[in-house]
Amino acid sequence: MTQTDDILSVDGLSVSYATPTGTLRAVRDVSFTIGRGEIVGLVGESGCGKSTLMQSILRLLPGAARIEGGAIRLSGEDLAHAPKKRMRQLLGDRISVVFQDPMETLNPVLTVGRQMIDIQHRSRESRAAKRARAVAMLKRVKIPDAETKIDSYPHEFSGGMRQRVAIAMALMAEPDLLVADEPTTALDATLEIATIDLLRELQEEIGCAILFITHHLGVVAELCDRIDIMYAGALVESGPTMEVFRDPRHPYTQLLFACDPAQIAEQRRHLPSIPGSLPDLIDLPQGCIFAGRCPRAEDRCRTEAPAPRAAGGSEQVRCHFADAPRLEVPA
Amino acid sequence: MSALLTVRDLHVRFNTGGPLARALGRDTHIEGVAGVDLDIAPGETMALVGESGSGKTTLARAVAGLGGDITGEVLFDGKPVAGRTGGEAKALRRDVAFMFQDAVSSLSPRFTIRGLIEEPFRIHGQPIPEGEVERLLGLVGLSAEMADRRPHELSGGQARRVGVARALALEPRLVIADEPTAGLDVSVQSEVLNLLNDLRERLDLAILIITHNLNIVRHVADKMAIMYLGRFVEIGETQAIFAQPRHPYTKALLSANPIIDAEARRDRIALEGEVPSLTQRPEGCEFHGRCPFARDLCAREAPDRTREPARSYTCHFPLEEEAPA
Repeated sequence: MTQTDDILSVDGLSVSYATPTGTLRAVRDVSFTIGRGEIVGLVGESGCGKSTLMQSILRLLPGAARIEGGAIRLSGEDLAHAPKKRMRQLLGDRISVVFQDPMETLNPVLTVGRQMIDIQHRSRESRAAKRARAVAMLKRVKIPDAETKIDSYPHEFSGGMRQRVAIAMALMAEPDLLVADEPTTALDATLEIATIDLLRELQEEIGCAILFITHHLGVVAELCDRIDIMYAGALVESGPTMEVFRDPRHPYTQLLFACDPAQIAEQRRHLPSIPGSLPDLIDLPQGCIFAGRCPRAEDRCRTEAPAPRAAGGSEQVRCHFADAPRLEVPA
Repeated sequence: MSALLTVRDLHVRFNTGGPLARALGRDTHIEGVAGVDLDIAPGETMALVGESGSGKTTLARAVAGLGGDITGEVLFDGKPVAGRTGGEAKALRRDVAFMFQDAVSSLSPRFTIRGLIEEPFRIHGQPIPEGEVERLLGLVGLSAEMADRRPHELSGGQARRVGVARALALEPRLVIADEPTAGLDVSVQSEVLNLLNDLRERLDLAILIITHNLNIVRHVADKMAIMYLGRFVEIGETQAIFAQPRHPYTKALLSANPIIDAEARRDRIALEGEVPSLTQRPEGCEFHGRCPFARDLCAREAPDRTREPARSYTCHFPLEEEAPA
């Protein structure tokens, strides 16, 4: 894939927060790309910086945060330093977002129809035409009886339907990039599957790229073409989903997969976990960020930070021993 | 093994109507739990699964003697849970511990962790043994320094562990864990589950775990019950149910599990529509509107419970063993 085919490219991005006890370096030197029409899963546990990364792309960072370095480009245009006015043009036109909780996205005192018409404020079409588009979009996300339901308020929809309304609204502008921040985490398993299937269908029709942020590995495997795994502010591994699942190369990825009860075939009472806790992001350890919890760590790991390199089927692995045999995970 | 907890034909009703509806003589009651039988033996783990609104939490609360318009029988150690007063009610609260779904908000922000862990002892007028708080913190894998912190200083996983420590402080015999791992990272999730399992082995604890994470159920539960609209559509031994679900709803839930294996995905049953409202329960089999295998009979007649050695279920046309490929 050539450079020009990338919708989004993040290059060496570092973001930090000013805190009373020092500078918290939440995202450090993260690089990845999303090709046109590609679905990319961004995975990591709480505190790994995936929300900070998302907020940087959308330029929704809180006041204490600062982009220290690197670039974020949307089809070549720099977002990290774009003026506010330009960002407002891009958001909702070329970039859309679906958040975790649709109740926070939807205004509870306006009907869904009113909100879906309002977000078309850039279009010069008549109100009736906008309403017709909204109804058509609701039908596409399989809201039964869309002509009537459009005049309902958000609370009159069930949780799964609300999220589908939020997806409909995000996709109305036919964006180039959809950022989905844990859109299925609050849903039941049956609805989660339905929502993922719907997203995949719509993505095929519209052809937008999706950055899908989640901590649910199964969802990534079902939906995403590529997977990026973050740990403590660093991108530790990235590559094609099936390759990474088949043969993860970073010890953290290996342990994370081993801990997922879904991936343990035989029944066992005692489940594996990753001992230790996240490193302090204010006073960063020298060397590899995962060295403190890594069963494979050697002296070199504690002094020298590994540079990303290709290993196995993965395109980027930040580990000195990326080619070592896969870790045995005891029960 | 005799059951520690016995539930027979339990119904929990809620009144959804106001004074006007009552004056007009309308029946405004819904049944959150509608006729449930359940037994849990010491040392046994039972999982309750089902979609949101299926009555899992309502059932758990009724079992713990927490309020509601309850009919039917709930026996703990052979004695009814309902109608207890004074010392008897207190004894029940000592023997049955509840881990709430929202761990952080179940901890009072004004207390230190030490205060929170000592609270059950004070309520039950028991002396607090020297070093008990530290021992309990150690048990749940938290350092003794945590004792002087307050809930807002804890991460979600740590708050959850404090919840476990509090639940275990008085050595209960039954722990009811409502979504004990919701919102936790996978590595921390394993730690909380391992902890509960270790204690079960050590103290012969009975555990009732509510979850919609079926991957967990498969590993930690001896038995499982699948709830739909306040009833068990299938209940029995976890391994038997996972090996061959009989009820189509069970199969749908089991197959709604995002998986890495592309082969297994083809076998998925997709559910149409949403969970029906409790105010308008469907006629016949309550699942027929969403069931891909429903036939005429299902819409007319509610199925009786079929009992097999390892489980029971309510379905006219249970799924059969698939012929080996």
